[in-house]
Amino acid sequence: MNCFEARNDFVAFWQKTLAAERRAQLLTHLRRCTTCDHSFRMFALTAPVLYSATEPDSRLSPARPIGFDTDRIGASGNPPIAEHRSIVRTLNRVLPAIAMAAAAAIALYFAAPPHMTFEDAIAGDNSSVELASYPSTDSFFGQELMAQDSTAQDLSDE
Amino acid sequence: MAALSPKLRTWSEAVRPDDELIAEVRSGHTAAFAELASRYRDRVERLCQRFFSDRELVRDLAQESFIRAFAGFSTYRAEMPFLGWLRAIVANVCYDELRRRRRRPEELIADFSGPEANWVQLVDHLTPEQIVEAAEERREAHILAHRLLDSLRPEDRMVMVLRESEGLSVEEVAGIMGWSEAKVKIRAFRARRLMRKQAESILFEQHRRIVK
Repeated sequence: MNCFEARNDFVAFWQKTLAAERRAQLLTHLRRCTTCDHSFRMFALTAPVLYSATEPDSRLSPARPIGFDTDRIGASGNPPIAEHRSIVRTLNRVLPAIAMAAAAAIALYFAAPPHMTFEDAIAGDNSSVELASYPSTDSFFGQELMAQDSTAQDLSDE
Repeated sequence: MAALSPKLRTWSEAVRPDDELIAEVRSGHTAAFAELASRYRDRVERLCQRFFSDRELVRDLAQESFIRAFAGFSTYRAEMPFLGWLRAIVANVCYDELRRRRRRPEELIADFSGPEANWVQLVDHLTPEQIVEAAEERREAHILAHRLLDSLRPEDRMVMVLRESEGLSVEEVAGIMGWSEAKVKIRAFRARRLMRKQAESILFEQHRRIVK
């Protein structure tokens, strides 16, 4: 066996499809020829992906069953992955528009004259006044409010 | 036929030819496509594994490929093998994913450690027979191979996998990718040259470590 023939047999040797006699010839050649032996070792670095029939089980990501859910395709035309990706794409497109609309609405709210002044609100018998008043023990974003006005307390001490 | 036992019925369904299932899909029976998908799922996942090591991603890409195949089923021509048509879809799904990802810089390839370094040590010291046996059991052998292949440009990697792993001709690769045959040849040449260079540098690094 010459070097050319030996290198041509690398893939079949890796896939264990080489006939016994040919395999023995290859191994003999590799023992004698350091150049081909080196080439085989270089070949072995990418062969696990390029030429192996199977891949070892990964302990990091255990296998999960996979099925082609034709019911979902038939019903909606959007199977799970495509559905998820299309939702993400749609959100990516729509979110900036929503944010801009919200900003515009806030700006418009503050720019427009109020329908009711603060004096009107506290003077009149209006439910919005009730909504705007908080008991001192209520929490504000999850934090307990102080029962007393600390600033007033400090001033009185002075 | 009506009196077939469930076992025999399953067998008779399992050996139904692709043409029959394809005709059923064309007439609106989506269940027939599910059968086609389960028939080719292993082949599809195997092809995806040539590009990506992440199992979850491989399954997602396989699923995506079947979805595209189902959506574009009207483009399938009966005169071509179903597997060939499906392979072209899978290849393009994987190509899209490769292009989305950033290529690993070539300089980082030789800079590895841990289990992958141990694997290089084994490749350097074991006999060829032992290397083949060890590679079947060692995940790090696959991870290192993926790292090496990650250094290729997406176009080069496509050619490398389709030519080397799938055993396709230059003409077939050109047909799948929509490229000229000259481009496929150039890409294949570049890919092989870079792989040799990377493998050389890894083994050289291994020898340098031993000398140290």
